[in-house]
Amino acid sequence: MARSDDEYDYLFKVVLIGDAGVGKSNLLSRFTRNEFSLESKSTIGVEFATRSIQCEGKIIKAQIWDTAGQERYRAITSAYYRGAVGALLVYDITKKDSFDNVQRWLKELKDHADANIVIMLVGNKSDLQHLKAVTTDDASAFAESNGLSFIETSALDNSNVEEAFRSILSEIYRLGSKKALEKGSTSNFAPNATQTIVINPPADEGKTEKAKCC
Amino acid sequence: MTTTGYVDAELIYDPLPKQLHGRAIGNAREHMSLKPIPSTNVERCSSETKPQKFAPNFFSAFWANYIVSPAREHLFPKRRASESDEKTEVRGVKQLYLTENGAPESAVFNNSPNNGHTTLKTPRKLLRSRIPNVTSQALKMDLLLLDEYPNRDILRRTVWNGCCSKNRAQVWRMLLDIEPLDYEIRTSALKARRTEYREHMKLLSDFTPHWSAQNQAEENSSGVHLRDELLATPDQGPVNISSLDSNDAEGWAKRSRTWTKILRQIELDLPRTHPDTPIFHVAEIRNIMRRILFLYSILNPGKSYMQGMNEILTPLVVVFVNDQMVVTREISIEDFLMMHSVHDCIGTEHLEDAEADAFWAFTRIVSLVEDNFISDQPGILRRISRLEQIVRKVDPALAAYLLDIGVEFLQFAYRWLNCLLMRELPFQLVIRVWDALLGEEDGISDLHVYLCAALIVRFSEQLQNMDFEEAILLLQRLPTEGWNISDVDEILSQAHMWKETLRLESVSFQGQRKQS
Repeated sequence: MARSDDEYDYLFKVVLIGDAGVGKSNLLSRFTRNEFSLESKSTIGVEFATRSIQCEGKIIKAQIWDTAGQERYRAITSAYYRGAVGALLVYDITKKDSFDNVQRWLKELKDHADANIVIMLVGNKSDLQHLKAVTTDDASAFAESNGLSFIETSALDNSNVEEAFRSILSEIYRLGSKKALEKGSTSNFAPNATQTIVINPPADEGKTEKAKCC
Repeated sequence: MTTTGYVDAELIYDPLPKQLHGRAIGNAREHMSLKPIPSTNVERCSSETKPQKFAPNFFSAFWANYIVSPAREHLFPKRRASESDEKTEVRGVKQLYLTENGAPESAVFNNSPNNGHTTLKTPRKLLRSRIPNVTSQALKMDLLLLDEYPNRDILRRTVWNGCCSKNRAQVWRMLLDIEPLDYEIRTSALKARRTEYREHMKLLSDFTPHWSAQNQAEENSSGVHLRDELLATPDQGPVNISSLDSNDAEGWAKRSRTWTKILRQIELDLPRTHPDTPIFHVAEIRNIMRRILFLYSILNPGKSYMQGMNEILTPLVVVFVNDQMVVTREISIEDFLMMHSVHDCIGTEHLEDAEADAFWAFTRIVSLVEDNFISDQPGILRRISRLEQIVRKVDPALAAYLLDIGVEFLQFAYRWLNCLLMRELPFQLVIRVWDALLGEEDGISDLHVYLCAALIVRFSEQLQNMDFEEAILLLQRLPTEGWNISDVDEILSQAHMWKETLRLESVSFQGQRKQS
C-alpha cells in the first residue's frame, strides 16, 4: 500500500479512449509504472491506475481510467465517462482508420461526458515513423479546428508520454477555477467526495493561467 | 464385496444394458504406446509463427494450415477405432476398478475365449450401484462413460468434482450437447458435427475471394474506411452460409466490409490472448482460434465477435487439442500450455476434429450467456447487479464498505463476467472451474455469478482495510497466482451453497407471499 500517494491537493479523473489497439493501456502503464509491453492483454471493461505529479507547487493526483476500444463496447463504457474532467483521445499514427474514428469518439464524449471536459488528441506510436499514415499537420489542423490540444507520443520509446499527461493535467488545473470542479461534482466513479476527494477551486490562482505549469 | 454393494436409491433407473465389451472409454491415452514422431520426418505446415500485423497477404494467411498436405496423414495413425485399443482400455479400467474394490477380476468380468470380448458377469445394476463407492474420480468417470446411456445428472455430479484430463474432452462434449450420451450413436453423431464444421469451412474458403478481393480494392482506391457496420447492424438471426450467392456483388461488397472488420479485430486480439503462455503463440493454435471466432461471427451477426470471446475460447481449444494429441503419455494442462509446438504430436485430421469440437463447444457456451454479447450487453449488466445483491446478502459488511469507499461492481466485475473469470484465475484452475460450471444445469449462466461472489468474499477482510484505490487495484488484479485446486474447490462449494440457500429462501419467500 503506497502511502506516499495519499497526500494530494487535487484529484482529477481522466479517461483514455480511442480505437482498439492504438496503445491506450501502454500509455497508461508507461505513465503510471514506466512499463511497456508489446503484447499486453486487451482491456476488457475498464482498468484503473493513478499517479501524482507536482504542478505549481500543488500535488495533483491523476486517477486514470483505461477503457476497452472495440466499438461494440461503447454502450457500456459510456458509463465510465461520468465525472471525468479530462480525456486523452488516442489514435495510432500508422492506422488511418483510428484517426478517422476520432470524430466518433468526440461525439461519444459529447453525448456522455461533462461538457467542460478537457480533451487532448494523442497520436501514439510515433516510433513507427516509416509507417506513418496520419501526418502531423493533418492531425494538428484537426485538433485546432475542434479546439483540442494535440501531441504525438510513443509509449514504446517513452517519448512525450509524460508530457501528454502533464499537459492535460495542468490544463485541467488551470481551467479548474473557472469550470466544473466545484466541490461535490463527483461521479459514480470517483471516490466518495466527502472523504477522499479534495477538489478546491484554486481561489487565488484564477488569473495565473499563463503560469508555466509542471 | 463384489456382488453386494451399497445401493444408492437414486441410482436405480432405466433398463440395464447387457454387456460391457469393446467400449471406448474416453481417450484412455495412457494405454497407448505410440511414439512421438521426430520432427525431421515431418513436413512443416506453412504458417506464421510471429504475431502478424495486418498485411496484404492477410487473407491467404487466414487459410494457412487448414488445408495442408495430406502426405502427413500416414504419420498419424487413427487413434480410436482399433478394437484392440478398446480392449486394452476396458482392461485398464477393470484393473483400476478391481484395485479399488479389492476383488478378483474373475468375480466381476468374463473373458470369453471365443471372441476375446470382455463381458460383465455381475449384474449391471450392481456395478452402477457401486459407482458412488468408487473413490477415484477418474475411475468413476470411466465407468460412467462405459454406460450405454449414462445418466446426465450423475455425469454432471461427477464432473462437478473435477474431471481427469483424459476424459475431459468427451465429458465436456457430452455436457455441451456435441456428443450424445447414447453410446450407440456417439461416434456417428460426433462425426456428423465435425463434418458439418468442415463443410462450413469449405464454403467460407470458397467465398473468400469474393469478399477479400473486393475489400482490398476498395481500400486501395478510394479510402473508404471500415467503420461501425457492426454497430449499425441490428441483431439478426443466424446466417445460413450455404445460401450466400457468389454472384451477388452488392451483397458481397457489404459483407466484405463487415467481415474484414471482424477479422481485423480478431487479428488484433489474437497476439494479446494469454501472451505469456507459449501454446498461444503456436501458429496452429492461433489459426484455429482465428477461424472459429470468425466463422462464429459471420454465422451469428447479432452477437458477433466481441473482445473477451477470444478468452472464452481458450480453455476449449486447449482441452480439445490436447485431447487429440498423439503422445505416449497424458499431457497435463500445465505441460500443454508450455508447449512451443504441437506439430509433431498431432495430424491435420485430428487437429481439424479438435477445431470442430472447440467450435461447437464455443457456440454452445456463448449461447448459454448470449445476452452478454448482444448489443448493450444486458446480460452482463443484469449479472453484475445480481452479483451485488448476492454479496449484500452473504457479506453485508463488505457490500456496505465497498459502497462507502465508492467502489462499484461495474468497475471490476465487468471483466469477471465478460470473460468467465479467465483473467482472474490461473489457466489450469479455470479448467477446473469449468468442469464444475458444466456440472450444473445453469452453471455458466448462473452459478458463475455466485462464484464471482465467493471470489470477492475471499478477499473481504483485505478489502475492508483498503481505500478506494487500493481496493480497485486489488480487484482488477486479484492475487490468485499462487492458488491451487483446494482454493478453487473452496470457492466453488461456497458458491454452490449460496446458490442453493438463496434459491430456497426465495422459494419460501414466494410461498409466504402466496399464503398471505
